[in-house]
Amino acid sequence: MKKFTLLTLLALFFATFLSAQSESDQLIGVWEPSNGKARVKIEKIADKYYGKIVWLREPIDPVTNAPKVDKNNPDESMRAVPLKGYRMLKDFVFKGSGEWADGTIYDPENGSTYSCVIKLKDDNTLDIRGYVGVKALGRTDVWKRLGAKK
Amino acid sequence: MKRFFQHTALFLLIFAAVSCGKVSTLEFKPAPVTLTAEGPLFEGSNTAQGVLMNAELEAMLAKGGYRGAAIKSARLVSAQIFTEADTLTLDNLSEITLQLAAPDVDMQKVAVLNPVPAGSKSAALQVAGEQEKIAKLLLQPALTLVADVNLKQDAEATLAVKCQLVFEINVKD
Repeated sequence: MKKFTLLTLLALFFATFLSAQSESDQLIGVWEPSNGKARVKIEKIADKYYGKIVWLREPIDPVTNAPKVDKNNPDESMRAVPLKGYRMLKDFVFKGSGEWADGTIYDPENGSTYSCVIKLKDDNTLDIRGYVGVKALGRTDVWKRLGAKK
Repeated sequence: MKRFFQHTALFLLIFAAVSCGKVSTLEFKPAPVTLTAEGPLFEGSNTAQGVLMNAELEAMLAKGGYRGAAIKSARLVSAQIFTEADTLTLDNLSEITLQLAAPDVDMQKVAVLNPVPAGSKSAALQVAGEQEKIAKLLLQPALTLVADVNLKQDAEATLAVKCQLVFEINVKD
């Protein structure tokens, strides 16, 4: 009887652990912002979530005729970083209830970095809110998962 | 009142003497870290990762009679990459961006190479001018090196890039 109780408790523990793990990993995948200009692959590195640009609608800079780079980066030494592969979402931590926070989002169009919180609205939709200082003073964009889950 | 000022002045002098100890600069050159991305790989952005353990730094500091807490600041001064035999060569790569990451510290972009020079077996990356939290990253038990690599075309093979980093570390004596 004792052994049975112990096994049941262990099974419950692992089931809870796996369920929490799979919930946090729901963010992993390829997502498209509402403007459709890019596609961002979100992956997990060292227990946090990061998103990098894997596709650009217009990958070539019309001025230089070369692949686009991070020309607006405030650090001049990093302006040669290609936008394809650029990590624009950084350091997100899963907070439970479909929310990832403590991260930042980078806007390559103006070289600014904002605090950011991500909410999973449903399996295939994210609310990405970028803000400066206070969450209320920000802007939310809706991202759609590519290869939507059914 | 006079005694109070005297004591305060003495306390400030002692505090200044203790907190403004001499700072020495050390070079930390850990063994090259292998960053791997398992094939098959596809054209465009791929990620190769490797881990640098803190033990090497601890050993170097201990040799000089220092502890981790003695580190005041640190910066990456050079990053060199070279490919291993039997994997993709640098000719397969168009650009590389190198970042450092750890669970308790924000990811830092530290170097870039754009374009990767053709026909070379090794190459030096351009190191970031603005670097933050490098000391904090180095003090983590494990530091993940993340290389975002753009491939020129699809490849069946695994990518294994060796990365030689050199840090400059300021420690308080």
